[in-house]
Amino acid sequence: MGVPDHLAVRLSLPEQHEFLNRGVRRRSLLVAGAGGAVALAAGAPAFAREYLPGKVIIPFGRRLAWGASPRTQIRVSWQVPDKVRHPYVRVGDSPATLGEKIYAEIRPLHTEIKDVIPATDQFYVHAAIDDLVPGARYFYAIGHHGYESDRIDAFRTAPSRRRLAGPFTFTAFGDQGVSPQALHNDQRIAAQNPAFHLHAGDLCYADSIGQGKIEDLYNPLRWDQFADQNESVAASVPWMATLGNHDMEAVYSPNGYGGQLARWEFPRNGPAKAVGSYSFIYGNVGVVALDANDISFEIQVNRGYTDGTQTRWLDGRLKFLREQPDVDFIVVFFHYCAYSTTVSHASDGAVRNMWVPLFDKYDVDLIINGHNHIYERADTIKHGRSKRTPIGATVRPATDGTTYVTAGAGGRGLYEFSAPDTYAGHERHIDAVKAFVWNAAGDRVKETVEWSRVRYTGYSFVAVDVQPAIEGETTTMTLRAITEKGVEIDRVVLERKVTGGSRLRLSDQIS
Amino acid sequence: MGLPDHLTARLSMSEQHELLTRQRGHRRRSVLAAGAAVAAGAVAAGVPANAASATVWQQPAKVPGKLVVPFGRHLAWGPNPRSQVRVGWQVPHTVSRPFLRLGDAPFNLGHKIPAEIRALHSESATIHATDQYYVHASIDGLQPGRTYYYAVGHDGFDPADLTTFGRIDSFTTAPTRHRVPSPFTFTAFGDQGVSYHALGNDGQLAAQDPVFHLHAGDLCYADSNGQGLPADTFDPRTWDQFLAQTEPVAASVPWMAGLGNHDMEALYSPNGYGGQLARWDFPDNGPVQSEGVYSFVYGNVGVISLDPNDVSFEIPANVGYTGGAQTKWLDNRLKWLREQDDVDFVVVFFHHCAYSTTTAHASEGGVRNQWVPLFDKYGVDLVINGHNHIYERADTLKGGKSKKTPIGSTVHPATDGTTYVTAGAAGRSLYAFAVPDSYAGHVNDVDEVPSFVWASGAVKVTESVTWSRVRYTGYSFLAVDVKPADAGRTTTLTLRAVTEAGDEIDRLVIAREAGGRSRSRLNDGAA
Repeated sequence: MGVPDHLAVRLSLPEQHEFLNRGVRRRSLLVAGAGGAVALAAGAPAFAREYLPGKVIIPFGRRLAWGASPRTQIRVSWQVPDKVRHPYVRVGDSPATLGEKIYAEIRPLHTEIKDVIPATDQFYVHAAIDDLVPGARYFYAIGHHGYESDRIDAFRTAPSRRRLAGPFTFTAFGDQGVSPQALHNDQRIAAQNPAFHLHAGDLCYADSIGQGKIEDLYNPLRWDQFADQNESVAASVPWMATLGNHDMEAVYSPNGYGGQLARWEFPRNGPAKAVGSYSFIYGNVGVVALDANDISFEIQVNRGYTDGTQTRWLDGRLKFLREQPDVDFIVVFFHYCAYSTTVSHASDGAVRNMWVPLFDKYDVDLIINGHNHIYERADTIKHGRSKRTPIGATVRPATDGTTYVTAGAGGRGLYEFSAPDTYAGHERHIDAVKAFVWNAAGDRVKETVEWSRVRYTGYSFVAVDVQPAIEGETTTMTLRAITEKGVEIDRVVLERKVTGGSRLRLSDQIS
Repeated sequence: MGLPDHLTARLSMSEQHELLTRQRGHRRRSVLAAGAAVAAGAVAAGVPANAASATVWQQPAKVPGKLVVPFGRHLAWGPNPRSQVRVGWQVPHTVSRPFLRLGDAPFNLGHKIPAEIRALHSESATIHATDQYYVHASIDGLQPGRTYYYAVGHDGFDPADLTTFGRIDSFTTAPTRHRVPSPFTFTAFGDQGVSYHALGNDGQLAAQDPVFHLHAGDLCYADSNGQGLPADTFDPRTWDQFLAQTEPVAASVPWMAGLGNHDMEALYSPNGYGGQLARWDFPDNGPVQSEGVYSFVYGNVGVISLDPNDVSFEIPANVGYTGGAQTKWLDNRLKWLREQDDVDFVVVFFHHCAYSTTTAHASEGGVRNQWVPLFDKYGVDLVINGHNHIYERADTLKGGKSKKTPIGSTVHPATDGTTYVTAGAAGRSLYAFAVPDSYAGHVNDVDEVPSFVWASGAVKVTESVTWSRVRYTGYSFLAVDVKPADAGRTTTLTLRAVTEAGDEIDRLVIAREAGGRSRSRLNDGAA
């Protein structure tokens, strides 16, 4: 973003942001007299312009997210091409009976770097819908002063915790961007009819270099295409995003996340210092999203920005989830890989050092990562020891260990393995695969691993079919890897005996 | 598409297709049997898949209908916009018995109309085998001026069943010819492609609430070289992105496409248009030899779409492919439109420019030679072109003579001549002018603009012109507000050029005395 290399090396993101916005601040202060580069970068020029008539501003890029309680809370977000007055959503239990207006919040985002990025204003809108009924279908339409969309979309809240949930499916991938393959993956995901979708970071690639540095090539308008591309799924399927290295955008404070905070409404129940770090319960599955930029050895610009609070929160949250009588499975997703063998990024030692011990401690069932643009599944691993887990195997996580999946082929250009692909119908077992793991100095440490069980170099995503069961019976989570053409290339069944406990005192409100 | 330049220079479109598919046959070491070359041609041409041709390539395993989600909805008028609408969409896998449900309310979608699947197989030395499935439903017998609701589906995926809630869209048919229509707006641009500028323009044009949209060709840029040659780089999957990008507008606004040079895709027979025939349902009332040539009447406006690849000196891959039939049809159609009692204005749109001054493509002599005399003969009011990726408006022209027409003027076409607009800045990267921009708020008149016009043999003939009145180098489109009037009163077309940021950079009013004294005798059922 227009700063010489020698200045940008090893600056933290706040330092880089400061540097980038020096010019903007000086100029804007003369005009507006407002305080702080952050506030200015977040939309001062936009407020200076007049409003256009509401009817000429057409919303786009609808996307849903759970609130902290998916049973009662949903967030509806969208974008408008210019500023509007009084944006709202109307919700009802049938398309014909949409209710009162629920007013939404506008988050303007101004992007400008002298001689590099022309002034760009984007307007993100977020509505919080609370007090919904669990397990119910709702319909919604959005609008603002002077305009109401004809388009009606639907969503369904998570089932009540007091009763056994019915079977459901969720999907996941990372490293998507804007491309024909990204679009095809979206279409395949829609066809799974998922209850929600997990996005393991590297969302849009508006920052195409992804080092979180000032000189990264950055184009904010790419986010408009991203929102448009995903609307067909995300308008009716909660699209749960977390942050990858390409999502650190140095132009925005704090920590390169100012843009993400304008674009996304994350469930706000993670540690206060972290962004994109949260957790929710859906049926018998507890889900945790983490921001691995906080710990990565490979790309260190945001390393330590939560001062360890995220890892402490993870410990507490995993403990909480394991104490819930209705939670059988725990799924954690984040960007950098604990276990992968591509020649590009492979494994991040920080994840192994800081988080894997917690996954072992609480018998986490499934980890979903991105960052490496391939599909890879490791054998189950517990305390550093792997247990051979072929395609079609049934895993008992309490004894076998955690299943680690890399689903980073969401649409961005593919990476390579050092060893040949091996997947359903094309199995090629290799006992020793050459790989590496990043250490604290940011160096690659070679390793030879035996756990790389499934490797597929092609656009793909993960679908997980959950079959809840009553106390004493066996509940299963079936992991399927699916290509952009709809072909299944991996399958493994995770099963647990339902221990249960009294559900009657559980609250559907509390997350 | 993987053939050396020296082989492909100056080949016609059909010769190039022949060469491409023949080479493909060699590469595959004889596919199955004797008729392979012929069958491959038929398949690539997007002929609706029947049992015989479907066996040529390996079909993906049949996917259950409930797992196939439609996308890329796009509407088009039939020949008669009062009673006919065509709905196109795409499915990622082949499906059984696709259909459209239609009703007069969102919750009354009882009427089920079967749709047609057009499978398109793409494969060459440089293109991975790609199968695309386009679906088209024809809706006939509609009432004029009525809003209808529709949803699409197939076996296993029925939008009428709320457990698989699919999206419901709506459209409104053209008004009856028996009464003076209410005011309406239509929009136009060309040279779009897939980009955030293209998306931004789509959003701004949706905000105009248009009754239809004219796309003056160079739709998607899946063929990024645009010479109509086998050596062009081509990625058929770009069309998936294009239709997905377009859907938010085109699912409810008839999206009337014309064909540009980038829409000649040498891989597909006939004439590089086999892919377009799979993707689009053009109103089929043009000459049988041509593609993307048609005409319709909406309110007091007669619209004509032409294929200038048929007459271009600059890019001659398809020149003469209609054997002169298109130009003869244009003459007849203009005559017919001028005879219609209720048609006050005639608008013609097509890709290559009659009058433009960019340093890239400028003006097309083939258009000036063959079609401009007809526009003069019938007093055509407005011509909309693309090809040059800018906005430009010429002074009115008649018989080769221009009359200065500043921003904000009122034009009387019968005496002043035809207004020529280039609206080619829909989303693909911009071109440059030889002289500075000149537009509302930044008027910078230049009396002599150096430019050129393409002549026979793809030769550039330089010219110095006085008619370049408005020039804007930025993403933009054209909105036209039509105000019909009672017979004998003044009816107007107001042209507004709008940028992707929503700013107006040009405005012009075209005024005529309204006809329609004997409109009660007109037939809404005739095209």
